[in-house]
This record gives sequence, C-alpha cells and structure tokens, in this order.
Amino acid sequence: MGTNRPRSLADDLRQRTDAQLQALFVARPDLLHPVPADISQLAVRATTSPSVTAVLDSLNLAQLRVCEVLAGLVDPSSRDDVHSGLLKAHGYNETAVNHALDYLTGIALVWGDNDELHLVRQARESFGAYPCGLAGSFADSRRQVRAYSEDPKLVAKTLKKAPADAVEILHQLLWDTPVGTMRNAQRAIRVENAKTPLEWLLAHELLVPTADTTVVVPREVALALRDGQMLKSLDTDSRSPELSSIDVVRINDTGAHAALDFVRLVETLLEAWSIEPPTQLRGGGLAIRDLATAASTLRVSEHLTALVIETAFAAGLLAADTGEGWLPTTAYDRWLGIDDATRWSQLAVAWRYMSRAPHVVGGDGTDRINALTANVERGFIQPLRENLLRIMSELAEGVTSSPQLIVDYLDWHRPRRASLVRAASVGAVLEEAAALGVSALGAMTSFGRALASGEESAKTLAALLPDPVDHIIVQADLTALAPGRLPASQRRTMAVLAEVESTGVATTYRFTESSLRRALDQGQSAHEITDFLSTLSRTPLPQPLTYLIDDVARKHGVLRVGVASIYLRCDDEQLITSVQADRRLQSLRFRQLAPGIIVSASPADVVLDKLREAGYAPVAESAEGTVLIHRPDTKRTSVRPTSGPVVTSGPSDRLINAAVKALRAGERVDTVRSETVSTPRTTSSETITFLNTALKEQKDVWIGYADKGGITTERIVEPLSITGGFLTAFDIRSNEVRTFTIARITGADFADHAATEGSA
Amino acid sequence: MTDGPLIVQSDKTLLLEIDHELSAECRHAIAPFAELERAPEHIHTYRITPLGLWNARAAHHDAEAVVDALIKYSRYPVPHALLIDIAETMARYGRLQLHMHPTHGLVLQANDRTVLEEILRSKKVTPLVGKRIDDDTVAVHPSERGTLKQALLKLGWPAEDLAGYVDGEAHPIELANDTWELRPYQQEAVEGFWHGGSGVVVLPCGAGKTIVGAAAMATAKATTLILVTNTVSARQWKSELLKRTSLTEEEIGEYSGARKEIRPVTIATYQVMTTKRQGEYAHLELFDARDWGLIIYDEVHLLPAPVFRFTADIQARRRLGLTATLVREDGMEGEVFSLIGPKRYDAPWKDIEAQGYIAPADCVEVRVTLPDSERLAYAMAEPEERYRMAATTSYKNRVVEHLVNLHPEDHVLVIGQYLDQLDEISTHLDVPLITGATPVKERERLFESFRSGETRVLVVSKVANFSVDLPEAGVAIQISGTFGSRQEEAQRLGRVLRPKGDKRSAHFYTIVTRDTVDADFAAHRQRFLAEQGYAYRIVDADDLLYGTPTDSSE
Repeated sequence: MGTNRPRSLADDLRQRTDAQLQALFVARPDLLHPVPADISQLAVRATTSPSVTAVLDSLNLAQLRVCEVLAGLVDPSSRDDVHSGLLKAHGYNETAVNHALDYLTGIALVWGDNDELHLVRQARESFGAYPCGLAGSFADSRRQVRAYSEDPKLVAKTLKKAPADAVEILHQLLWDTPVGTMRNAQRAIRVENAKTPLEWLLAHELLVPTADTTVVVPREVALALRDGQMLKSLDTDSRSPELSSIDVVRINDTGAHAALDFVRLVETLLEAWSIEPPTQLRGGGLAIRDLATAASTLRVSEHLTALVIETAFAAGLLAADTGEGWLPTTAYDRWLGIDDATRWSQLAVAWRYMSRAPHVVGGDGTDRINALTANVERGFIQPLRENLLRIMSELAEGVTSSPQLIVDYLDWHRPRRASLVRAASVGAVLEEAAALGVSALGAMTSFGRALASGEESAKTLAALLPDPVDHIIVQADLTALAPGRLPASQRRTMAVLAEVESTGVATTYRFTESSLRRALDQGQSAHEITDFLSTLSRTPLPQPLTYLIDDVARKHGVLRVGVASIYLRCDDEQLITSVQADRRLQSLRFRQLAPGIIVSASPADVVLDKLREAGYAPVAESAEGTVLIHRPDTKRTSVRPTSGPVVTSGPSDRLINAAVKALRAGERVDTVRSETVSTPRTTSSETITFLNTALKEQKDVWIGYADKGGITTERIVEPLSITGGFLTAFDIRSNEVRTFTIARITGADFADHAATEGSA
Repeated sequence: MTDGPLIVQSDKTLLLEIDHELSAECRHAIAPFAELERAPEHIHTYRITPLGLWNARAAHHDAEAVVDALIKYSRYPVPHALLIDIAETMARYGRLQLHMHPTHGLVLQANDRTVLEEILRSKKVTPLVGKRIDDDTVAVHPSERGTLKQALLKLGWPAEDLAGYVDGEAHPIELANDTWELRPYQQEAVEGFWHGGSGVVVLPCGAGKTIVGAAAMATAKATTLILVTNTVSARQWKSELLKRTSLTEEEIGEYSGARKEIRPVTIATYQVMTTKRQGEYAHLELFDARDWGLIIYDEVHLLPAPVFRFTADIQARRRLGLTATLVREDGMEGEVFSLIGPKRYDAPWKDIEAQGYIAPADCVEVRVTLPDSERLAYAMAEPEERYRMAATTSYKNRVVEHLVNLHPEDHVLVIGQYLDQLDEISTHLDVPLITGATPVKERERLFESFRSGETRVLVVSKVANFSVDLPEAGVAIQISGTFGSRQEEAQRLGRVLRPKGDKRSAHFYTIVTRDTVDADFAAHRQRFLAEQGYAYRIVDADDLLYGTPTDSSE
C-alpha cells in the first residue's frame, strides 16, 4: 500500500482482492443480504451498527482486546503504536497481536495501512467512554496536565510528595474505570490549602473534575503512571476445552445405557399419562404438582423429568387435548413400535433442535415457570446447544471436558456473549446431553457425534446397545428381576402381570393381587400366567407365587356383571321355559339366568308388545317390584318451559336457499375435490349446451373460469339460470350465488367427473 | 462389559446377585454405605440413601471408595449422574463440625463458609446458635447440641460431632468371660461403637445384643444408664449382666414402675421414663441423677418420642443404641441418626445364622377359610371390627392344636393379639396364659417353668414381643398380630431363633384367615420375612388337618 494510502473504508475495500472480499463475506455473511450494489454501499453496510455489533460478538478475547486498544488510541494510530501500547502487558505476544490486527483489517473493522490504522467509528463507540480504562485528554485545558504530557516523569516526581492515601486512590482509578465520585468537585483548591488526599490530587491536577460530583484521571496522567501501557494484560492463549482422556469403550457403554434409560423414561412417563393424563393449566402447561408426581413416577429429579417431558413434547409424542389434558399422541404409538435405537434418535433430534430450555422449569413464587408453557422457550438455547455439540464433537474421541472448561472456552472465544445465564445454561445443556447419552463421563459418545454431524445416529447406537436378556429371576418375596432389558413383547406382558418397582438397566417387578387380577381381567388365565413365568424364569417359581396366582384366579370372575334391558320372571318355571322356546319371540333373544328368570336386551315396551302379540299376558314391574299399569295411548313428555310468541317477518326464500346450499356445500366440497386436476376445456358452444343440460337436470357443474387478469381458476357451481351470456349459479366453494360471464368460462364438465378424475 | 454381581439402577437401588462368585466380596464392599432393603433367595436389594452415605462418611469411607466399589462390581456401566450425586451427597457430611473450643466452649465450625452462611439463614438454626466467633465459627450452647444436629440433618448438612464426650463417673466393670467368649461379630460391634463414640449397633434378635451392651460397659468402665422396653426385659438385662460381668446385685438398680433404685448401673424402662405426672415427664431427671458415662438404648427402633427429646439434651454422653432393625414404623430414622448416632455395626441375619449363632427357621403360613356363618358376619362388619373378626376365627384353635401335636418334642409359644382368643386357646389346650395383666412374679415363674421344660406350651399376648428370653422355644405359632407390623414380625421370629442345643431348626407358623384383611396384613409381614431371606411356604389348613399332611421338613 504505502503510496496508495486509502482515504476511507470504501477506498480501502476497493483496493482489496477478490479473495479478500470473499473472506470478508465469509466472516460477515450478513453483508450479503441483500447483495450490495457496489463497494461504497458495502462500506456503508459494513459500518452500520447492527452489522458491527454482530461482528464484534464473533471476536475472540485477543481480537477484542486489540480492537479496544485501537479504540483507546488516538485515531489514526500505527501498528507500532499498538505494539508499544501493549509491550509490557502481561501475556503480550507480538505474533498474536499482528494476527489480531490482520484479522480485524480483514473483516473491515479496521482499515488503512500500517502507519495509519482506523477503527470504524461504530466499533470505537462500542467500547464506551473509557476504552482501555482511559479518560480523555486534558492537555489543552489544564496547564498542569499539559506539563505532565510533555514530561511524563513529572507525574511520578509529583507523587513522591503525595500523601499515601492519594497514591492509593490514584491506583484504584488507574486500570478499570478512571472515574471517581466526590462532593463539590469543582471548587477551586490550591496546593497550599489541600487538606484531604482527594483535594491534594485535584490541586495537582492528577484528578480533574468533569462535573459537580465526578472526577477523572486525565489520560496523560494515567498513561504516565501506566508507563504508556494500554492494557494491564493481554490474554492471547486460545482455550482448549480438553480435560483428560478416557477409554472410548467405556464412554460409549455408559452413554448407550443412558440413552436406553432416557427412552425408557419417556416410555414410562407416557404410559402413565395414557392412563391418568395430567390436566392442562388454564394458562397452558403442566401444574407443578403434576411435575412432582411425574418425577416420583419416574424416580428421578424434577429437572430430569422436565427434560423428559419437554423432549417428548418437542418430538411430537405428547400434546394437549382439550378436555383430556396432556396425552400421548398417535405418533407415540408409532414410536412405540420401532426399535430402541431409532426411538432414541427421534428424541435426540427433537432435543437438538428444540428452542426450549427445560432447565428453567421450576423456581419459586412469581418466578415459577411451568413445564410445557411458552415460558420455557429461550431463543438462545438452540444455538447454544448447537455450539456445544460442535465444540464437544471437535474434541478427539475419548477426550473429556467439563462445564467449567467449556464456559472458559466460550468466554475466550466469544467474550462479548459471556454472561451468567450463558454459564448456567452451558451446565444445563451438558447435563441434558449426558441424560440423553449424547455425552457420557464428559466426552462425546460415538452416536452423539453422529447426531451432531447429522449422520445416522440410530445405527451407531444400535450396535452399542446391550443384548436383551431372555430371562427373569423370580423370588419368594413375590418380586422378579429382569437383569437387563427384556424384549418388547415380554416387557409388555410383565408390565401387566406385575408392578414395576425399580427401573434402570434392570427392572424389578412385584407381583400383587391387583396386578395379577389385572392380567386375568385382560384375558390371561392362571395357567397361561404360570406358563409364561416359568418359561421366562431362570429359577423355579417359588411356592408363594404360584399359590398367589391360583388364589387370585380362584376368586376371579366369581361375581359376574352383564347388561340386560329387561327381565322376565315367573313362578311357573314351565311357562318361562315355553316363552324362551317360543319361535315367535326369537327376536327378543331371551337368556336364562336362573330358574324362573330370563333376560333380554330389548326395551320393555317392545317385549311387552311382542309378548301380548304372542298371546301372553305380561304386566310391567317397577324397580320396587310393584305392578305398573300403562295406558299406551296417553303418553306424555315432561313439561318444558315455553317462551312468549316471537314475531318475525320470516326469512326470504333467497336466504333460506342460500343457507341450505351453504349446508350442502360443506358436504360436497369434501366429496368433490378437484384441486389436483386440470380444468375442463370445451368450446363455448359446447359449454352453453352443456350448461343448459345441467340446468335442466339440476346437476353440479365443474367449470374453468378466467378472471379479468386472464388467470383461470376452477370452480364447482350449481347453475340457477342462464341469461344473455351470463350464468347465475351457486358457487359451492365460496358458498355464494354469483354471476359468471359465459365467454370467460374456459370449459365445463359434470362435477362428479371431476371427483372421479381427482381420485384416480 | 464386566460380569460383576451388582446391577446399579439409576433410581439408586443396587441389585446383588447372591449366586455370583463375587457376591460375598461385593456385599462387604457395599455394606458400609448401602442399606439392605430386602434379601430374598436370589437377588438382594440395597438402597443408597443420604443417611446411608453419611453413615459411611461417619465411618471414614470416602466418596471415592464408594464410587470405586460400585464401578468395580457393577455388571453394566454405572449411571454417571448417580456417581456425581453420591460424591455431592457425601461431601455434605462434615462440612460442619461440632468442636469443643478451649475458650468458647461448644462451637460449630465450617470448613466451607458458604455452607455456614446458608444454614445460619435458616429460621430453624438461628435460635440454636450463639454469637459468631469468626468467619467460620459460631458458638453453640451445649444444651442445643442435639437439637442443632437434628436441624442440620433436616437441612441436608449433617454435622460431624467431634466435640467429644464426658467420661462420666468411673466405675469398675469387667467382663466375666472365663467360661465364654465374645463372638467375633460382637467384638467388632463393640469396637465399631467405641471408635465412633456414639451410635447404633444393628444385630438380629438372638445374636446377643445384651452381651454387646455388657462389653461396651466393660470398655467404658463408667456408670451406665440402660433404657429397656419393659420390666421383664429389665430383669433379663440384670440377670445377664450378673452372669456376664463383674457387677454384683448391689451395683445394679432397677428403675421401673415397681422399684426406683438409682445405682452405678441403672436399668430403666421406657414406660416409666415417659410417665407423666401433672403434665410433666416425672422421671426424666433420671438422666441427670448421676454423671452417667454411658447410656444404652435397647430396642432403639421403639424409642419413644419424649426420650428422643431428652436425648437431644445429653449429647455429651456416650450413647449406644441396640436394635434388630433400623426400620422405624414412624419414620424417625433421621432422629436416630442425629441423636443416638450413625450406624456403627450391622450384620445381616442370614450371615449370623450361617455362622451357627442363631437357629435356621422354617416359616410356614397356614391359611384357614372362614366358615360360611362367619363369612356373612364378616362381610357386614364395620371396617374397624373386621380384622378382629377375621383374626380370631375359632377355626384357628383347631389348627393350633394340630400344630402343637405336630411337634411333640418342641417347646411351643402361641402368640396372639386378642385376649379372648388367647384365653380360649389356653383353655382349649389346657396350657398357661401370660398377658399384660399377669403379675411379674407369676410371669417369671411361668417363664422359668417353660425354660426348665415343665411347661411345654405357653400362650402369650404381645407382652412377649420384646426382650423376653425364652431360650428353648423351638416353635412359634402366631395367630394374630398388630396390623401387619414388620417390626413385630421380626421380634416374634426372634423368639425362635436362639440356637437350640441339638441344632434343630426352628418353626415359625402364622395362621391366617384367607380372603380377609387378616391375609392382607399377613402379606405385609410375610414380605418382611421373605426380604430377610426366610423363604416361606403356604399351606391350606384343610390339607393340614384332613388331607395329605404336607412335608414340614423336620
């Protein structure tokens, strides 16, 4: 450059090569939307406040600090100025500073050449009033300050005579904020009558008042005391999130079990909610109490429960049903039918992309956040999750990290985004990852990596899942243990036969009277239960269990409940038998319950009529057993309240017709669908003939109709009249009577043709 | 994947496969921190609870050892979250410590300042502590030592009590073990207790808890207050102490409803301690009557609430709790932990049985059917009457008679809840009956005659539940109980578990009325037996009486 010193950013950009511009766009993609028309437009866009803020956010700590140094120096400044301002900073590294300056230039935050570097104004302003903790210059307005600026050693000399406290005060204001507060700062103080250390500093213009209550350290004084240094320290070492390294097999095994556990938690929760769905709060979401219940069902913390719930929700396995509360969806049934690994990958993908932050669920009082509400949404969480997945999967296999290391890493690489919320969220997201098995023991699992890179994580996981166990161990205390995961069908049967007591890798079951009764209710016999269990059990069934099964079966079904509409009773058993045998009464389908009593599902009046028809003489009986006497012709309904006469003018025929048509229309639109077929094409004479026929036969017609702009739409109409080149017809779709210009009808056909074509 | 004997569940249960070759080793490794929940024949279930982990910390096991044990024996990878949780929970114990400060007296000292700040903000703790001595230390009034420990446990920051104990008034006590020896586990129990300072020793009934108490006294060599459940038990302690130690009749006092003696070794009953006179506990000052060097709580799981309250005030004295089970039906395990002390020794029943110190038992449940006439009455009875009706069906009498005849050689105890029923059986069998109303003299006479063999069958009410030593009872028949109390079941089983001279196995029968609440309660109690590893069989009374007599595995 040198000879061609750029006069502006645009000028600088113009001198850049295509490759440099490309690199600029890569680093600042927002400049491409929309693509600027020319370089000056690009320069303008690159200096807009949102764009500068975005690019500052993307700087790492070293870059940001170098940027701040430029902001603290007087514009323009040279590369050498930057270096000499940092020379004594703790951690200074010449190459790193040069790299940072090159990068800042590359992304157009800095322009100019090595002798005259300019930081764009918006970036400079982003560091506030005191970049590098330096206040403005007072050399022009204060005599003493000017003297300090001409001879920096004078400051130290002056301070030698200062009271100890004064030195202390000055040093406190030296590096961070050069501003202090005091009362009545602007009063005139002379050296002779300075009493307090502050007054002494003011008298020597080592502090300068800027308002009634504020004083600052003049830039000249600060730089003299700092020995010309802009920063105390410069952190140029990039951080690594690496902690240690452990056996990859162990990571994957632990992760696979966590993954399986997570799938199981979702299944357990949704199975429980299928039977007893929690209600939806009026404001949406899940009650705190229901969350606590769910947590105790799952026997895990409420935090993990919230994650399970939110993930199931994000995966579409759970939804609110008005009136019923939170229920598993039909997608859940499909999910149940697939293998564990695929089930996991569906949950994991849902987790990865969900913008919900389950860890915020909970809290106290007014800050309380309920699960499944909009309050769980956090805009930053999904990008953060993505970012963490990237960081974790960039680590070599088997390399672990910790939340603190990752927070440090992020704080260095994206210092402007650092916040307590981010630090807390990092921990929470990493916990989520561990709960899902995406990571384990602090390292990424192989299937977690597959998830992060969008590959088939299910396949990777499937290879790692333990083989299902083929047996259970039944014990005398009426418990059974499946020492691993049973195949799905056996798992389901066991869940019916026994209550699940403890879950994890293994499952313990407890047989109780009610669980066995439930199995009998579902149609299993004692024999089948015993068979199933003794086949599955590795040890002989203990006697108390077989005894319990037989005992429950013995009592099961002793009482029978059925539905009958009427009964027929008679002391004469012979008569009852003949009624039951009577062919004419076969339609009543009598069934004998006990001697002298038969029942039927037909209503009482029908039975009475039929019996009388057949020549019997039955009487009706009340619930108390007394005889009811009916006079069949005097039926009455109960009294209904009536209102006074309503005088109306009566609706017009037109209105009534339209209403009816509107009703019909709703029906027809469903059956006559023709959106997918092209409109019919007929010549205009054919069209007129056709419309007349349709009008005569009162059939619906399917027409293509060009509007004023020449765009053809298709409609289904019911012709009402044809006059003078116009068709008046009821348009079924729009539900109104319209007039169509016949010339603009591009073609017509019977509507049912449209239907058949459409479905073909 | 290793093929260990242990399955670690994410809900903090541990499943130990007994038939595995490493199971004994593994049991040893996990016993310090995991509570045995049940121990049926194949798989034992342990649970990791905060109390259990803190017990382990109190016994100087660190989190690393716990985690290592889990990882070493686990068949599958241990859930990572569980390991973190264990480490965090264990780290909570001992962050706060009670010390005796040379100038400030009792102080609560924190090695984590934030914890101290946190607990000092609690409304429950503020009234218990005195002035702040420095950033990490706060003064505690000696009288609040126990209450503070209780409060801190509830807050989840159990304090380690290092404030030491007063020696109490010295008194020479020696074990008179010229003819017998402490069993190894008894020795370990005493050492565990003494090393820990205060705490609870868990041993099954019949394993010689009294001897552990005597050995503890001989270690302390100081005046001792012994709290027992009732007068009979008090006499039992006395005679045992006379037999096992150098103590003489004059040195041992009985403090009960009948006598109020305060001697170097005083045995008091819970009942007298909790007797109120004009709304005040009249006898609690017994705790201060002497400068006791040791306080022994027998059957700590039955410790009544007022005694807890007073125990909170005597935290400077050594306390030994003896029990067969830490399970309290009132859920006050936390109180036992903070006021008596952590568990210092624990041995499962089956282990001691395997060593031959207690007799093996054959448990049988006999089911009787309610006669039709009683069934109708039962169906129409008020709910509160139902148990009594079901439990006292006269059919049971015939079964008892049959069972008594089935064991002509054995001493038989018939245990029940309802006096009418017991009365009826005693008349029916023509054997003596002991109830709460039987005078102590008469009771002792009957017990003595039972011991000597003069009386073969004895019918007892629930007075026999606790601490009555009936060495030669080979058969126990329970006909009714206290609504499915597990702890009562343990006590009653204990009646027959004392080792028999000829190594015969003991028999434990429960007679239960089918299809009634009696059976429901029984199921609850049986579960306890099965969980303790006593497999039981179910037999129909009709089969027993009329059918092919089932093999009763003699």
